[in-house]
Amino acid sequence: MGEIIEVYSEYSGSGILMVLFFVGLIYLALVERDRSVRTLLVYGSISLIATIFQPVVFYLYTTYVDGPTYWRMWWMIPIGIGLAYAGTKLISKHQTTGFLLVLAILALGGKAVYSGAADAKTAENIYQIPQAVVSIADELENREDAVVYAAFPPEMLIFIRQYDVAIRMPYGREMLDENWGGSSGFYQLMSSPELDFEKLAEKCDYNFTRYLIVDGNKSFLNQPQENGFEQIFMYEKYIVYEYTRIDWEQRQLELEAN
Amino acid sequence: MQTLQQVTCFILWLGLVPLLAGVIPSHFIEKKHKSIGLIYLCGFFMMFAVFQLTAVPFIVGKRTLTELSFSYTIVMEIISVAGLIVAVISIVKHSIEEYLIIFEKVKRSKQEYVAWIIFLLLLIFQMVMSVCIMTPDGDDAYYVSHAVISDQQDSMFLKNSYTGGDGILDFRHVLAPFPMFIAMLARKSGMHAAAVAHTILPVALIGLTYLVYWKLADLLFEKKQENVPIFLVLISGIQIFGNYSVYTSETFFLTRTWQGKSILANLVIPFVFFVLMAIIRRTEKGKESVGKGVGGCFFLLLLANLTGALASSLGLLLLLILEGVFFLVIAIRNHRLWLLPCGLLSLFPCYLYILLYVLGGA
Repeated sequence: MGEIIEVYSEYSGSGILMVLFFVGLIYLALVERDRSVRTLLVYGSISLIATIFQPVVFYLYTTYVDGPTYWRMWWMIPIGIGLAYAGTKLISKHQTTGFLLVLAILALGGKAVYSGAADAKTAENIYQIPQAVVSIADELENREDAVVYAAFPPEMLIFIRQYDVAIRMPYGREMLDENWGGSSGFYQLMSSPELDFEKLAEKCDYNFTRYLIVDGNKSFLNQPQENGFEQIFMYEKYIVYEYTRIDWEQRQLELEAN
Repeated sequence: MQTLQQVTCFILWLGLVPLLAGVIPSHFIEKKHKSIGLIYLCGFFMMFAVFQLTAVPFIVGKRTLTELSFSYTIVMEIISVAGLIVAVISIVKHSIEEYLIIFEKVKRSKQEYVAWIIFLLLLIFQMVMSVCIMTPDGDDAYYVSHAVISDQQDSMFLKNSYTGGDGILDFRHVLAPFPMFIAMLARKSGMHAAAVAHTILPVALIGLTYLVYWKLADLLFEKKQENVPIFLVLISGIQIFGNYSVYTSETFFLTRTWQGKSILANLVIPFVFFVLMAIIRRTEKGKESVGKGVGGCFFLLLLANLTGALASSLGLLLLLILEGVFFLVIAIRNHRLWLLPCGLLSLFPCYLYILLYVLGGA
């Protein structure tokens, strides 16, 4: 039972909306006269809540379905519908005051979705993908007739292949997933605050990675040019290097032959 | 020219097709005095359900998006034409005023108008924000990338979306192929799938979600329709200020609108509540005869469950529990035990896809 309460605490978070929902549920249980509404919002909600809090349901779900996502069970409870219905009943009796009061409670007790989303920002294009990603991908596509093999910094990993699936990468978004069990030496090097181009050259050699996109604000442990990297263009703070110690035309012929 | 093609495509696939496809399922609910909103809503669920039934065999059979899109278009054309024929016959038989509720001749108070205006402003605000604000999410590297791969490389779930290497059919996601619906819209419109997912679909899905709440409010406030706009204003407020944790359905609604799990939580589950409320009203205890359209309600539940399957594999389990619990409650409260076998039948998609998931996993 303790684990279910823990999941509930995570779901209900910091706001008071869940408390309000339970207050609304009690209010409806006491005053609602419409039998059908009582069936849906009172008896239905209570039965679902009782189901979610059953240890046997929790055990079956976490063992056989998907351990870390039990919080999704709360999506079944008509929280918004119940809260809005109870609020409407209150407001219909005291219209203006009730209306302002309920909206004030929502604004003060809840948290605006747009301010809460940590990465929310103004869209830079119709794809809703950072313009730096779009511009760099376009430029690489313009330079390359065949498939583009490129390694990107961590902050670009989730975006690149949402925009351009012709770009292939030695590691991807799985590196950012805390449930991911694997590792990539390449990714560790690229995410380090100090870039070691000697080791990055080894990775490019091993993975046949032609382009390297790095954050120009990071410090470099050694010179890219001395390790086979040639700067081909820059976009904002990002520098795009081409790795030149592989004969790419020969490599392309080998790939086509295979 | 390309913009014209895109606009035409979205008007057709997000406007006209659902409107025509909704005529038949809504016919099972009400034969006369139908609201356009209900027809449109039923049409969207019909579209999603048919897509689920068409897409899964094509994906499991490792066919292309081109083949899927072609087959789906033919099926939807047949359903839309059938809907058009039924609508025309009904209008000829009765009259357009008797068949459709175009303008409700109800006297509204000043407060009611004010509440409707506030709701419309909040709705427009959410739609505009969905276009102007980007809310990046790591899961898009899977969902949106798969849509882009399918559109541009014509293979469905066969590539590793993260790196571009070869992948394997992952049954958890294959059985819930909503990204392929995005890919199909991208293919038909010529617009990039990321733009369809992040910019076009959210506007349609936000509107559709509030349409569900509107229809639900009509049922909840059956005898006090003046409360409907107040309810909608409050629901909007709850959605906007519902980020009390990262897990809430409200957070998903406005920051991950295009993802299947958000569609499950914010479109399918509220729609299920709407249908359940319709069943509760029509089978109220004490009524001598059961209200018309109960069979149609179960058909709508079937469509909702198929849409749930399209949106999220895990969603099937939530729908199974939700509807199972509710059918028990309704059967006991309304003294209609026959609702239980009907409910179990409408849950058929849940058993089917859960079984396929287990078999696929094995």
